[in-house]
Amino acid sequence: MLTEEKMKGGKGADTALQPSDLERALYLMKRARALDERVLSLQRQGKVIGTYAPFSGQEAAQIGAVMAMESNDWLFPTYRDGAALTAFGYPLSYLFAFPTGVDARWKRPEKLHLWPPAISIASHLPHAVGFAMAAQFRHDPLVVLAFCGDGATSEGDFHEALNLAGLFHAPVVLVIENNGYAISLPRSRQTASATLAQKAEAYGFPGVQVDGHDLLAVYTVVRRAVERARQGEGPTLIKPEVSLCPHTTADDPTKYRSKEELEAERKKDPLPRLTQYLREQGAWDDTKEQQATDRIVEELHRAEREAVKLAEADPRVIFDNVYAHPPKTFLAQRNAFLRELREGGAPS
Amino acid sequence: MATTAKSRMLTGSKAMVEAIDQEMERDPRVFVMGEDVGKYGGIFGSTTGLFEKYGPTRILDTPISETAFIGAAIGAAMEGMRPIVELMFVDFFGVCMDQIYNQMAKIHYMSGGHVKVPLVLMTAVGGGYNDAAQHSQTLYATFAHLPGMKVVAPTFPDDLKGMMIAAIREDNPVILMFHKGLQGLGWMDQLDASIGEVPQEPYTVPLGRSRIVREGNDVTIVGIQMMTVHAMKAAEQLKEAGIDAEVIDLRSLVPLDRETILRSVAKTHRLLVVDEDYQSYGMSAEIAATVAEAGLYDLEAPIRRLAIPDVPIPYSDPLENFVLPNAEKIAEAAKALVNM
Ligand SMILES: Cc1ncc(C[n+]2csc(CCOP(=O)(O)OP(=O)(O)O)c2C)c(N)n1
Repeated sequence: MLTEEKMKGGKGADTALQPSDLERALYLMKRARALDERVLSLQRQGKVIGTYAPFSGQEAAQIGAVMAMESNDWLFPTYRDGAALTAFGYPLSYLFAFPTGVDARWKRPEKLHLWPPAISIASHLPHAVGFAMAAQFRHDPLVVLAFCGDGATSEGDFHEALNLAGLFHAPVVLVIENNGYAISLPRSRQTASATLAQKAEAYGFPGVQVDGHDLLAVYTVVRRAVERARQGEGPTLIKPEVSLCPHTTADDPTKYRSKEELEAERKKDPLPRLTQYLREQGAWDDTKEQQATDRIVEELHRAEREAVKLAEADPRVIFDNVYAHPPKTFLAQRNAFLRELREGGAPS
Repeated sequence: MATTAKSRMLTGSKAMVEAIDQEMERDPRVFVMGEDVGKYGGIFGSTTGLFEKYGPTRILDTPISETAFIGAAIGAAMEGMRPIVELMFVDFFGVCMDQIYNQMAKIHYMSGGHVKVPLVLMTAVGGGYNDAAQHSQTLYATFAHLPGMKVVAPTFPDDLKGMMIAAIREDNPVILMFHKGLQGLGWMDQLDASIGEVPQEPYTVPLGRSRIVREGNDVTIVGIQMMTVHAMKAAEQLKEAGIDAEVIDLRSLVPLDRETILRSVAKTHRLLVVDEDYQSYGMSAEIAATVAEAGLYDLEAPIRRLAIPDVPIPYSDPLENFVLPNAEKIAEAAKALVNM
């Protein structure tokens, strides 16, 4: 997140980004990519059990958007937004832990302004709008930033949420990461609308397209939208074009995408792009590259070690957060269940 | 149904596909609609190869708009088509439930019997592969509770085929649940039960009849889908302990074959119901109530239920294993019943 001064950057907000901010952005992107690759490699070795949605190719869109937020703002991500989460301060260890041991996926540090990632497509968009409306009602100047995918734009929840947002001028920025596919369905088969950005028009607020491989571009448009929202001018929809493969670890993209297409997508990689830009600016060199790589390796190692500690399975936690105030009947069921588990030996 | 010389070994998913394929060949009114049912072939393999054969006019990939495409399938059914529509995971019923239970299930009634909705809603159910609380439910009871539609959940490949064909030929709306773990997919743990002998020619298996998959005299174990599979494994363990279990595969929730259960309990005098669904207000309670109402005096021990406690299904592997009933837990419970 950036300083107060930069927030006032308005139209030229991108120029207000200091080289140190961009270095940080590049570091976060590289770290996210390394994490994604590490989890996938662990999964191939059978060490990660559970479905995992990779985000490689979407780092610039996710991190660029998060960098445009202020500390008081709130993030409403989806299952796809691991890069955004790590840039937002979500512990790396949780991302390693959630596919292994405890249900750390639902954990979040108390102070992090983070909604649990949405799994049912578009289900979080009405929440994001309601959250923003509540903030407005309480004169709290926060802005809500929500991510969703191109496929999500076909859900009723998406349209109803946008309608509400437009109607009530909710301070919301909606970022549609268009990675061109919803599992196997290409964007062209998702909707007959010419663009996804124009969906916003129907609901009375602006929709902006941006190249999601370009961190600076994403940052700039999201920054403007966040400011607009904070000044009471209502919601904005932003659609970064991004690349992605594959859908989840339970998915084989070669079933519906050609090798050539996957190769072409890979070439748009946002990481070399920002690296090259910074090198041209004299803000990045081989030494920095090496330092970053070393630090990332170390950070990821530490996170994995911490994840192992998180990953002890205690059957009691199954019952812990079902209710804020567990009814007596529930506690009775819990006790009987745990007793039986103990007596029968914990099943493997 | 009799197996013939023309049987081959098929996985659950291939058996389903064959059923749909044969019905599509027979009846031009049959078509398929849903998310990723086209080129992808259904993320749990329910339509693999059909797009290549029938093309995009009869195998329709839809956007992620469950209310729209299930509602549209209802409209098409009313117009005389026989749609098969896939809800990718049963868990997503939430976004389209009005179409399912207020529309699909009630239109026949609310039109005074004038409008038929011959629709098959097929949907993937079940957990055990770490897909978290919103992708791992069966929700058997949620659907079975609602009047106006049949709800079936075949376990084995031959039943998947026969019940799918029966469902397509029904004039009632039918929800056909298939268990992800019993589809025989390469990326899941492959279970022996997910492959079985399936006759080649089209045939139907009546909706509403259970199947005794193992005969026995000491205790009746009632299950459906994955719980039937675990119960059969438990029965092997029980055999070693000298206990002779009878295992009933329900196959259908609505209609529910109460007679077979009552007859079995009259023989074994003990009942264990196993359910991969939440315990309270569920299928296990319905069966327990059936036996309490009509077979109480046959019982020599209290009815026993094994189900998921009333908690969301955990994402983590060990935690999920704690809540799911399995062969060991079933064997333990059955032993306790017999030794009571
Ligand atoms: C209500 C609902 N329907 C279906 C699904 C199954 N599903 C999971 S991801 C997905 C595709 C989503 O595509 P998109 O919104 O473009 O996001 P992406 O995964 O490409 O990031 C689908 C259909 C779901 N999770 N929720």
